[in-house]
Amino acid sequence: MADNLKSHYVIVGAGIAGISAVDAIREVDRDRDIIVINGENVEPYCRPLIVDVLRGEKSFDEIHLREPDWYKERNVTLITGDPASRLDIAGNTVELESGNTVTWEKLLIATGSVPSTPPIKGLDTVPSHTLYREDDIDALKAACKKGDKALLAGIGLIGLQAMTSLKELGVEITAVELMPKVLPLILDQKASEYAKRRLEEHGIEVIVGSGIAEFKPADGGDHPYAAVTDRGSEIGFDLLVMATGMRPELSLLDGTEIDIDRGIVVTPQMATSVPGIYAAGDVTVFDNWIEGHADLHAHWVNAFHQGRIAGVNMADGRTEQYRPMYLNSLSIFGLPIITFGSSRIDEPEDADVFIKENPGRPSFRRFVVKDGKLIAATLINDVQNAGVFQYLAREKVDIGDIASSLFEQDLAGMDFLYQHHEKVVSGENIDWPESMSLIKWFKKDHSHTRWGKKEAGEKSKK
Amino acid sequence: MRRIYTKPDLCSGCRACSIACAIAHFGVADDSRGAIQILRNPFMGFEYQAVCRICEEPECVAACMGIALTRDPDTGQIHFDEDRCIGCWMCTMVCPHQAAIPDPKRGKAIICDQCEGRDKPACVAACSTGAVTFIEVEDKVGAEG
Ligand SMILES: Cc1cc2nc3c(=O)[nH]c(=O)nc-3n(C[C@H](O)[C@H](O)[C@H](O)COP(=O)(O)OP(=O)(O)OC[C@H]3O[C@@H](n4cnc5c(N)ncnc54)[C@H](O)[C@@H]3O)c2cc1C
Ligand code: SF4
Repeated sequence: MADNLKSHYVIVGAGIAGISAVDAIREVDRDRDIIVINGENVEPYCRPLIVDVLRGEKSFDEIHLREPDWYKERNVTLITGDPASRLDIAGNTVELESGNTVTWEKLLIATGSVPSTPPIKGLDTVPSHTLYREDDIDALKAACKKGDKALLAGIGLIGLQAMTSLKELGVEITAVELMPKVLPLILDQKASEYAKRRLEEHGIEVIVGSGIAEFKPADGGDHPYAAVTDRGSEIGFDLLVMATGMRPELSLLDGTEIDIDRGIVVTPQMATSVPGIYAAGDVTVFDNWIEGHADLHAHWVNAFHQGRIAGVNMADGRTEQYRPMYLNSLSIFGLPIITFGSSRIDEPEDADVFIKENPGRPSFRRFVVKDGKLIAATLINDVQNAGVFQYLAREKVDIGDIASSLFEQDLAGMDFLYQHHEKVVSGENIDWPESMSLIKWFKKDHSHTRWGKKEAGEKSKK
Repeated sequence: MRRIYTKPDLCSGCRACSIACAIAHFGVADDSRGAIQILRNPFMGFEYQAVCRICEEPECVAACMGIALTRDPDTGQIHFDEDRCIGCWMCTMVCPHQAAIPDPKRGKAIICDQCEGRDKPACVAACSTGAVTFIEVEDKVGAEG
């Protein structure tokens, strides 16, 4: 007998977007029911840390998004292992795989991404793996043995995670990337040379600018399977990992009237085109604050903020602002890389590019300035003050006159930063104690320091 | 609730605070590993102390994909659970105060914990000019929910 559940708030997908929505709802509304539908078989976990599980350094119990008690304490019903299978929008009801149904007043779709694999000839004739969910890790762990040879299709962020982890497990790796550079969605040609060199130094065979035309069982040789590249060479392998990209998980929306443009189209309040239904996280398409056009960007920070905004708005309609931009922080065998904005573009139009590098160290910094504003940056190895540059970009601070010396980090640049900080915060919401009024640090829209306001005897704005 | 405040005009740039912090947390006198860092411009005549400002909506907490960083909704305090830190430097990427410092030696971030459990933060105790202070602020953060 199927159950028919009812809940004021229903959240489909228990990734960071879904869980931060729960947090936000409970800050506003402590009473009304929340049901979270977690389609996976384990309690909600930190997705990027699945590679630590793959390497055997952590278990799923150690990477929970929230401790198991957290849900109960907040009066949240978590349904685990029973994915949503169909949306009935007219009836405000979501059907689960078990046949149970849940009726909502407010619905959040936070179903995240799924790996997307191109239709390569023979792909179904060889065993292949992806790296995204808990079940992928179980399968991959069972399949790989020390000394095996893995073929990795795609050298993007996920591919990078896959190879660094598999390498640590003693698996040999050949990685093939269709585009002419590694990490093509993140790095420009020059920066990607650093990344490629790092991979090669760690024993990974990297092939760029070459697609895979076909997979097939190998005829003889050391490995049971083979891939034929579009240049005609053959690569034998024991294990195939497909890391050719991600796309929003939209299968639940088939046949519904919710607006889709690659991802779910949302307002700045995370509302979809259907009243009462919200979406957040990787599943959405949103207006990029720097580039000014609609974008997909599978990213943790994004999913966190969008989940919060959705939650707040679902609970009381108050608007919060978030200015999404591309951000990435990655590490290649311990070499840290931070990028933001369209750092992938080799020759950005109408923009000045500043590069400072030291291949020996190695260190590399690249900044793209357009109309006096910092719009993209790449920092390799020297990443300590990435946050400051990220801030200048997000706040669209005019740095036109000072750009080169700022990035050289010489005195003029330091002065600028110092004066800028003072200017930005002076008289605004950070209220330092009277005696310390000299320095007021970065402050703009985020009301960083409510405690400061209290101290100055002001009533905080509600 | 007490907080660390800084007075850059009193800072001589001696880095005793950074060193004291590194000693308190890692047992080494290495100023580059202190959670408080001194940015210096000798010609302009300023020293600036980069340290956690305990933002009300901390970007580092939003970015932390290991859930090592959390914010106590009652006190506003930011907690750092070192065991959960995976050294992804997402916090470094978003902290506008340069107060989330990568520590390659541990493969984990260096985050100011206000020396929880200690009478006075090590940096404050070490500062001889009064440029780093620890002051009582009203414990009202989060009270109105
Ligand atoms: C190996 C790896 C490394 C990563 N590294 C980084 C990084 O360094 N930095 C970064 O910013 N991002 C990183 N990411 C991306 C980051 O994890 C995602 O951007 C983030 O998890 C998105 O959160 P989300 O809540 O939108 O979606 P997800 O985390 O994908 O969560 C969605 C959840 O919904 C579930 N679901 C889907 N359909 C249904 C259904 N019908 N019913 C019920 N449940 C459903 C899914 O199974 C999933 O559990 C990484 C990802 C991976 C896999
Ligand atoms: S480096 Fe550690 S503290 Fe910083 S975001 Fe990553 S896991 Fe969190």
